[in-house]
Amino acid sequence: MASLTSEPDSAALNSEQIVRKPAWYLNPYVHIGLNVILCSVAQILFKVGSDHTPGGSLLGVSSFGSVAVCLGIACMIAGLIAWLQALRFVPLIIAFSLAAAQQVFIPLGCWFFLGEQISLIRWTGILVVTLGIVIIARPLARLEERL
Amino acid sequence: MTLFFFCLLLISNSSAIAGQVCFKRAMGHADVVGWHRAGWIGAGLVGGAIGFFFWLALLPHFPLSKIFPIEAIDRPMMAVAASVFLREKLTPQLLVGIAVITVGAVLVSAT
Repeated sequence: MASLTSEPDSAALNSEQIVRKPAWYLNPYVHIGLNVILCSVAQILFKVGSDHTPGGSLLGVSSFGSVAVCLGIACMIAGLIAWLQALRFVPLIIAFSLAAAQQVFIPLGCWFFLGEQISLIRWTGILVVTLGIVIIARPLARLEERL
Repeated sequence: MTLFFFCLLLISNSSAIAGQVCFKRAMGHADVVGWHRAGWIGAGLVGGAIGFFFWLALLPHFPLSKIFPIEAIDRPMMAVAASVFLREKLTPQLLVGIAVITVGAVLVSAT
């Protein structure tokens, strides 16, 4: 009797395992978010590094001597790996549009870490960019919920 | 921003977009594997590297929080490139989202 009742349970368990969502760290949208954070950090490091190296080089080659620029490159490489993983599953135009979150993170990072000023119009722009990302992300989030 | 620096920015953007199209060609198709995939990734890296060097040359001349948002002109450029080269579908909602993001970025850069 016990085996009769356990059979449907195990079948249900198996089907649940088959349709189970992949782990969160395999989600391509997590990879896009990781890419955004790493690239934002990299840009701030590039700015710090290029400000502390002598100018006059057209292609900015002299900046490569800076530790901050080298750390920025490491962040860019890690971000690239996350980005390539995301592109396996997400159309380029959607991934690229969601990555516009850098337009929010970088000015905020410059304000917080570099002391650059953000005017009222710039704050408005940051909000508008965020709205655009929400417009693109909302149908994707609904789709994710259904899966 | 002078015409010279604007041209540098356009070269930087165009190279980066070409690189992204190559990355998508490398990763987006299951039948692209091995050396074929490595070739597309390599081409993407070359495109990205050209864009990066021009970007690095621009950085010391402007505050980052001002120059980075101007790069937003690459959003519509990317929409065209994805549609033409990758045949990706541009839905009305996606186009509205891209337009709003671009307007937002222009607002940020206009200050």
